[in-house]
This record gives sequence, structure tokens and C-alpha cells, in this order.
Amino acid sequence: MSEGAVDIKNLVKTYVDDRGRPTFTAVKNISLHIEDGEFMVLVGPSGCGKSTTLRMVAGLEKISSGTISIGGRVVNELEPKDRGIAMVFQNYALYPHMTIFNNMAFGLQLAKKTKEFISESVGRTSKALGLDHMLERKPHALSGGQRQRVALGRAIVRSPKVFLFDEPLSNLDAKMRVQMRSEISKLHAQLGSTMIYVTHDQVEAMTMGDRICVMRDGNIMQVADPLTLYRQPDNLFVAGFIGSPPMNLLKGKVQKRDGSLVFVEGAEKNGLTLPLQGRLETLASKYVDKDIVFGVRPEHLADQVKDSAHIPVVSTVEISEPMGSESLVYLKAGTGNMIARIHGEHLYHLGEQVTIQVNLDKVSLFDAATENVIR
Amino acid sequence: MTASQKLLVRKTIAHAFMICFLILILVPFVMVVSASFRQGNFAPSRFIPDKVSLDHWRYVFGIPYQEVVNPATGETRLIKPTTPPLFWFWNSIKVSFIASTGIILLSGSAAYAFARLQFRFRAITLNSLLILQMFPMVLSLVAFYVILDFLGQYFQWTGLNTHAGLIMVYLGGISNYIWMIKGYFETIPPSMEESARIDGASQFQTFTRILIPISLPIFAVVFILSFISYMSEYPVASVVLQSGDNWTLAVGANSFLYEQEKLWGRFAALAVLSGVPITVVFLMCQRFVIGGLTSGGVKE
Amino acid sequence: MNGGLPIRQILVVLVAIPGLYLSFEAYQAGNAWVALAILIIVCLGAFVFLSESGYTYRYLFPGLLGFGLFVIFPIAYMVFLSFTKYNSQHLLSFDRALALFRQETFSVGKVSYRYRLFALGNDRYILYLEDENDSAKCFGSSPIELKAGEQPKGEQEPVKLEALRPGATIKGTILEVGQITREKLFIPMRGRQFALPDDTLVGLEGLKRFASLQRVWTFNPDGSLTNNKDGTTIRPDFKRGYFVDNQGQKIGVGFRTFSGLENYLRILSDPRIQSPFFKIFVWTVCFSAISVVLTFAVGMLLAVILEWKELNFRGGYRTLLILPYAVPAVLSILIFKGLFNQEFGAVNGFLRAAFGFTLEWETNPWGARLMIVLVNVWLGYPYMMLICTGMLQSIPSGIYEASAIEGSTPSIDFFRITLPLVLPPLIPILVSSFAFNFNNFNLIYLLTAGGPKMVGGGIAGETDLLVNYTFNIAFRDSGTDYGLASAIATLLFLIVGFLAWMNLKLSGKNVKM
Repeated sequence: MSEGAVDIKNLVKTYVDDRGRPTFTAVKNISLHIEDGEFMVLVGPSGCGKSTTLRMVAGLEKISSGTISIGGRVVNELEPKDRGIAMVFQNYALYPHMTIFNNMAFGLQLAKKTKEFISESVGRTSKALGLDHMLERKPHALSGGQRQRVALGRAIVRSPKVFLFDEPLSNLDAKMRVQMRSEISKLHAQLGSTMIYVTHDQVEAMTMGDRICVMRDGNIMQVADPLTLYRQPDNLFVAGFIGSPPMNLLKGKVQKRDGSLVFVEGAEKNGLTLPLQGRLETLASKYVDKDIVFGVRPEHLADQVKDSAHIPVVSTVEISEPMGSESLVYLKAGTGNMIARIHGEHLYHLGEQVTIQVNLDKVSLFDAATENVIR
Repeated sequence: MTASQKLLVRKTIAHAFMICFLILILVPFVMVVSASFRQGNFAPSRFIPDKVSLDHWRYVFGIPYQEVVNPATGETRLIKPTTPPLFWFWNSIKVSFIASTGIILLSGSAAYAFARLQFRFRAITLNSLLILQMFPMVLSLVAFYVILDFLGQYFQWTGLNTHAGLIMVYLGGISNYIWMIKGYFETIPPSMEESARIDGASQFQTFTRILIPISLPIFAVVFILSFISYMSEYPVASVVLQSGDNWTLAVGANSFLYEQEKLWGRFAALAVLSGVPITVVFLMCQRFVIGGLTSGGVKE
Repeated sequence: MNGGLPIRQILVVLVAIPGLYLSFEAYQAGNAWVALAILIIVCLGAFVFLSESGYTYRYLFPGLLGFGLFVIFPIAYMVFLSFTKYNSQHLLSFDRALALFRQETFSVGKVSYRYRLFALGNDRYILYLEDENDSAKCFGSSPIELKAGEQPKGEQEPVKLEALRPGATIKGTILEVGQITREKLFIPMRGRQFALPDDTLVGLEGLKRFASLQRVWTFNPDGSLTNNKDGTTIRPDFKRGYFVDNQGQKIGVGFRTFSGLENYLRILSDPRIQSPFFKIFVWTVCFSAISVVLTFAVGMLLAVILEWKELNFRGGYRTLLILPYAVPAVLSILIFKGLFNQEFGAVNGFLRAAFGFTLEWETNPWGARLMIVLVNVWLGYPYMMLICTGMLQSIPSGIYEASAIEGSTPSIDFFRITLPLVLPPLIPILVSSFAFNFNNFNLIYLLTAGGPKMVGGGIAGETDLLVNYTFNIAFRDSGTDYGLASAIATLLFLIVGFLAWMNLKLSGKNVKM
């Protein structure tokens, strides 16, 4: 296996109280393989176990059971400093009493590197990060973005096999966040090291990751590259988590009407009725009279017919958010609500009747009971 | 060594160190309890007394007992203290309690002025308070003597050899407590008091009805710390209080240790009797004290 | 205040009345300055509490009054005393010394008188005199007050005696000589002078007779005194605090006098003072510094261990570790005095049993000093531990995770991260701990009484701190040099005052205008 590959096998983390009785299981038996040089994002809502997993890779949390290997070597019993990793923290964790130079040099000094080596490494890194003119300042004299760069520099300077990021951009303002995102991505392209990045922001995940691992309640929901997650979510959670605004999810039943299968939303008389054709028919055939979830993304709802794959749905506009080149329109159709992202500069008014074209090619069907996608 | 093995070794070392240190620290307490039950007045030297006797305890409570004077003839004599040492303990509690209460009132109101009010000479007064307090109280004894002697001529209850006089001297030591309370007041945003003023409260009422109730923790800390320090104060008390039944605990306890004959047994009984309740009360209030002392911080 | 009783005004009046009474009484007793001072205080207090512009000062007044009386006044008094010659040979004020000279009498002539004392009750007596050679000449006094054992204060007018007819009866019960002794009436009697109708003075001579007296000294207009017995003249020497005759010899009792910087110079130049002073000063500084360093080191070590989340029973350990702080220090110090007792104490007992030797805790200066430092560390580490705990808790824990990843160990963490972060805010605490130990009178006084005695250092002890040395100079029997003590005390105050001022600057607590 290559130097920077990380292999997580059957990892479990259970917290215990003072007497050793288990109280809460944060990570419930996950397995994940991260390739050498890959940018893997762990994403999910608060409490899903992503930070805990990251900290177990770092060695800051004890592993309850399972193994973590870095570069082919099991590191469960290794101290953090012996694992070949570097970490960037959410609140930077800079040493307040040391200059920027010393903050970045500390790890190298501990590794007993020569003064020249340290000076050269720190100089090079700080220049690349635009920090070389403030090396004598202390952290409190720096802005949030600058501090985060120092934290980054501190990690880079040690040439680790694996970089770990624990929600590093959460404390920054929106503009700085966008800037730092691209800097980290550039850094990855430059160094080619393995990077494991934890965030709760799915936009960050989608824009930065080679692959994304979506987690929820201590379990992995799906691991895939961004596009696959977007196009082929494995389950309802991933479908609703990825994409902004989220996928429209309509609950209903498959029914046979006049020899063909239809999806009846809300399973009521005035519910939306959508014909299930082609690919969808095959998928739905095993679910006649069963509950399913009909999922279609806002961007796949158009107001003009594109081709025969589109199905018209009459709906009423409830709220319209014009964004300039497109509008987010909140629609009521049947007994359900939908959001549509409609291209164009047309202004939609409250109560306006719109015929929405649903792109059936892009629709996903989910088993309502198991929440898994129907394939 | 693996990480968890290292952790275990470190934990064991830490526990071992703690236990050894604690044993060393607590030896004096064990010794003094043992000495209080040991017959005779030997210096504390054993963990378990060789001959157990309750005589010292009887003495401390003022209960008369027979002491063997001549072992050969079995002749005994009655031992009874003129002032039961218990009384000294009570004196100390009285003096310390009243003095601590007075300290809270005086330093609390002064701290309020420094923290919330503006007036001329505020800065100078504050700094001078701190610097002038540095003069050791011991050396002011001549002046104290002069003042109390003078007062005692006209107001019998406040002169030398009175508790009131001693308390008055103690009430001069407000400087450090003013700084503590002022510091605490300054961490409380004035917006609550300002809101009360708008609602119609007078300045004094914002002080008594808003600020004081919120500041109870610091008052508790000041009370406890000053109480303990008055319990232990020796030189001024020994000069001001001249008659045996007026003595405080500190003076009385030391009186057992004459140059020629040190009555360790009696001293031990008195020390245990008075030390235990104070320690227990302190431990019960330790939450406050620790909170008050640990509220300092590192700047980020 | 709207409506209701003017409580504040009533209280002011109630408090002012005793104050005014005190002022008046002081004036009556002749202490004009004191009376004035009291009057000023009362007026100030009334102003502050009654006038609107004095509002803010109301909160300050009681506290500052106590502070002024028991802190500022003693300091001012001390500084004043330091410039005077005020010791056991120069105890009296100049006026009192003069009064003593005035009272000196010697018997002239050969007339002596038998006497009787008649008790009237209530400390009142009548003196009856009868000429030894002519019992027809007898005199009686009006009732005078004689308090048992009381030294007469100040100068009193001679008691006038009236001539009596022989055989006259006098009220009251006759007292025998034995009774007079028992009632301790000789002392006041000896202090009084009695004047016969012809203005000759008579006074008690011995126990059984009265003899005519004459004043020894005549007061001359130029301030000198002439001895009526031998005609010599003496003058007061304000520099030396004595009356001196023409040859410069000291005569009679000394008096307090302004001596300028003499006390301070003595500290520097008088070898009996300078040598012990210097040694004690060095010991005081070293003791304070060592105490601060050790209590801080122990306290910090314990705080670091107790902050370690992996350790069990942290709460229990902490409670037990605070015990030395919870127990009143006076008791702990005396307990240690017993434990370190050289012959019988537990420490030497343990050393003897475990290692076969003992240490001289009481007789050897270094043994005593070691004992003092050990006890002081025992007493002082809990406070430091608590302060350090507060400091440690305010360090964000993320820093240690970052350093762990970078390869740090617990000891590197401590010396390169924890300590540099924690020391700056701690410095004021350390300085005030230094100042506290500089004046740690109780510890030395109770534990060693300053002993063992310094050889060739007068009353100085090897373990005395400056404050103990000063105390001994002022109050121990073989000394009572208030002037010198005040000078040392003033110097001491300058030192710790300077420390306090420096502390203010360092901690940035300096209150800006």
C-alpha cells in the first residue's frame, strides 16, 4: 500500500462514564479506504461522528474497536506524533505566546532539525502563504484568515503523509471562507498529499473533495465522488443532504392505472399523479401499491418543454426568490410542495399558475421503508 | 511501549506521587490528634499514643480532673483551668465573625465607590490604599496602644483589653479586600443597574438591591478569607488583650507553650477542638473560595 | 428621600454626639491637638452625609476612617518617631522630665513630724502631722484622694495643711503602718507634697516620718536649672536628650528629643546594629524569594497533575491538598513547632529510626532556617495551587492537541507552552507573595521566636525577619528603643511599599485618571 493511504476498518467509538459503563456510541462500525493522495471529505450534520473519526485517525481519541492504518501500518497504538500526520483545527490552536515563525517552527524544533533547515522550510512555506512579512508578530495581532494560514503553514512545514482538517473554515466570514477553500484545493494540487477534511457544509464538500463520505449518526451513508453523490444518491439522507436547495422528495404510492404505473403523491384523491415511464417503470414495478418516495432536484424542473422525457405538472407559486439569472420558485402542486430552480429572468408572482416540466430522466425513486434508492 | 501502556505508567506514577505527597502533608494532623489523647505533655512524636488519656480534653472543656502528682504516693491534685480554653475558641469566633462582617460592609461600600462612582482623587486613593497597607500591622502596635488607651478612658468598652478595641484595629485592614471586591464588581456589566435607575431606583438602591445580591460569591470569599486570617492573628491580639479570659484562640494556644514547660498535650486538644470545625466549614465553602481565587486568566 | 423620617439626618446626629463629647473631653484633658483632630473628623463626616455634594464620599467614609486611624496614623506616627530619640533612657517627654526635676526635693532643717493617716472611705484620707519635738504643733489636711498603688500623674499642687489645735479630733479611721503598706498607699503618698501654713514643703521621708523639704532645682528664666544643694547649673541638651552640667556630664533623667537622621545613621554605622541588620536583611530577602519559588513550584506541579483529565479521584485529591490552607495557620505553626522539637519531636524521631541521625532544628541556625522554609512551603503551596489551577483552566485545550501532533511531550508542553503562557499574569501574585513573606511575623515568632540567638548581635536572632527584629527592638525588655525601631520600620515600609508600587505597574492595575 502506498505511503499516505489511510485504511479504516470496522471502527467503533463508544464513550463510557466514570464507572466504565457505555453511554453513547459516536461511531458505529465504519469502514473506509482513502487512497494515497486523495482529498477525502467527511461531511454530515452535527453529531454524525465525522470529527470523532478524524480525531481517532489523529490519535487524539482512543479507539474502542477496529483498526486504523496509515501507509499500511496499523497506528492504533501509536502516539499522534509518530503517525506522520498534521492537523489544522477549527479554532487554529496557535501558540499565543510564540511568534508566527516559532509557531511554524515548533514541530521542526521538536524533531531536532537544524536551524538552517527550519529557517528555510518556514521561509518557503510562509512565502507561499503570503505570511513572510509578519513572521515576528504574535497570533493576537493577526486576522482570522491570517491565523488560519499560519495553522496551515504549521502543518505544511512538517511534510506529513496525511493532512487532517477539522472544520477549519467554520470560524471565518463568508468571503474569507471562499478564498481559503480555493487555497486549500490549490495546496492539494501542489503537494499531492492525502487530505482528510471534515465539514458540515455540503458546498465545501462538493467543491473540494475527490470523494465524499456522507455520515449520519455514526454511520456512513455513502462514499462516492461528488457527481455520483449528486446524480445517484444511495439513500434518502444523501439525496436530501447533497445539493442546495435540496432535492424535492414527494411521498406517495405506486399504483397501477389503466395498465401503466403511476406515482400518486400523498396517496390521496387530489394528490399529484405522475406517470412512471421507461426506466422508472422498471424500477417501480416491484413496488406496486407500496410506499415510495419520488425525488427530483429543483434544477431538473423547467418551465419549458425540453423533450419527451418531461412531464407537465400544474402548480401554484407560493414564494418566488429571484436571483438574477434564475429564480427559486416555491410551488404547491397537489398536496405536496416543490422547489424549482428556473432559469431566466421572468418574475413569478404569488398565486401564479405555472406548468412545471419534470425531467423524468433525472428522477430517483426511494423505498419509503428502507430509505434506500430503488435500483 | 504503546500509547495505552505509556498512559497506564504515567497514571500509576501520578497516583503514587500524590499519595506519598498527601501522606507527608497530613502527618502533622495525625500527630496532633494522637498527642491530644496521649497522657502527659510530650512533643507530638507518635502516631498512636502509648498511654491514652482524656485529661487534656477535660482541661480544654473546663472539666476538672485529678492529676497524679507523685506516682509513688498516689497523691493527686485537682486540675481545673481558670478559663476553659474552649472559651478562647469562642472569643476568637466572636471577634473574627464580627470583624469579618465589618470588613464586608466597609470594603464593600468603598469598593462600590471605586468601581461605580467617579470622584476626585479616585486613582490616587486606590493606589495609596494598596501601598500603605503594606506596612506590617505588627509595627503599628505602639500607635494602636496609644489610640486604644485614649479611647478606653472615655468609652470603657472600646479600650485596651476589650474585644471591641481589637475588632476596631482589625477593621483597618480593608485595602486588599477592596481590591478583590472592586475587581469582581468590574466584571458585572452596569446595564442592570442602569436599567434599575431608569425604572426609578436611587443610586443606593441599585447598590443594595441589584449589585449586592449578584455579588454574593465575592462577599462569601472575602468573609471566609478574612475570618481565617483573624483566627490566626497573633501579635496584635496578644498585645491588646491582656487578661486570660479575653484571649483569642491564637494567644491562648500559644500560652500553653511556656519557655520551660511546653504543655503539648493540652495544646493538641485545643488545636484539634478548634481546628476541626473551622476546617470543616472551610471545606464546605471551598467551592466559593476556589472560584474566587481561580478566576484569573491567560490572555489569548 | 421622599417623605418619611429623615433617617439619615437622625443617624448623623446620633453618631456625631459621642464624637463631640470625645473631642470635648480630650480638650479638657489637655490634648488640644487630639481634640481638634476629632472635631475635624466629626465635621467632615457630618458634611459628607448631609450635603449632596458629598454623596460619593459617603460610601468611602467609614472604610477610610478606619483605614486612616489604624493604618495611616500609625505610619505617620512611626515615621515621626524615627526622627526622635525615644528609648528606655529617653522615655519621657521634655515636659514630663522637667516635671520630675521640679518634684525633686531634699530635706532641710531638723524638723520632722510624726504622722497619722485617717481613712474616710472611697479612697479619701486625711493626713495628720505632729512635730516630733513639739507636739503642740500639729497640722491636718483636707480630704485627699490616694489611690492604692497609683503613681501620681503630672505635677500636682502641694496639699495645703492647716494648723490644728492640739488634741483636735479628726474624722476617719486611723491606719497603722502595716495597713498602709498593705493598701499600697505609700506610693501615692510619696508622690505628693504637702505645704505647711508658712509655705514650707514637707514630704514623706522613709516610712515613719515627714520632714521639711525643699525643691532641689530652681527654674531659671533662661531655661537652665540651678541645683539648690550645691549651686551647680544644668542646661537641657536637646541634641543628646539629657540635662548636662558645665562639664558636659549627664544629670538626671533623659527625655525624648528630636534626633534627625541619627537613628538611620546608627543602622548604617553602629556595628552592633549594622551587622545584625545586614544579616537579617539578607535572610529576609532570601527567605521570601525561596518561599515564593518553592510554593510556586510545588503548587504548579500539583495544579498540572490535577488538571490531567485522565486521573481519577482528582476532586478528592484536591480537597485533601487544600487542608493546610483550611486549618488556621497559628495552630499549624505551633504543631510544627512540636513536631520539630529537637529531643522528642516526630521529625527527629523518624530521622533517628530511619537513618540514624538527627538534625538540629532549634540550636543550629541553618537547621532552624531549613525548618522555617519547609513549614512555609507546607503552609503556602495550596494558595499557589489554586491560583495556578485558575490559570491552567484558562488555556484553550486545543493547543495541547496541536502540540501532541507536532511531537511534544508533557515536559516540553510544560516548559515551552504552559509556563510561558501562565507566568505574565502570575507575576503580580508572585510579587505580593514575596511582600507577604517579607513581613511574615507570625511564622518566625511562633515557630522559632527568632532563635537561635545571633552571637554578638544583641537581641537579634538567626532566623529573625526584619519585622521580628524591629518588633524586638521596640518591645522586648532589653531594648525598648522605639526610635530605632521606627527607623527600621520606616525603611521596611519603603521596601515593601516599593514592591507594591512595582506590582501595580506590572499588573497594569494602575488606575488611570
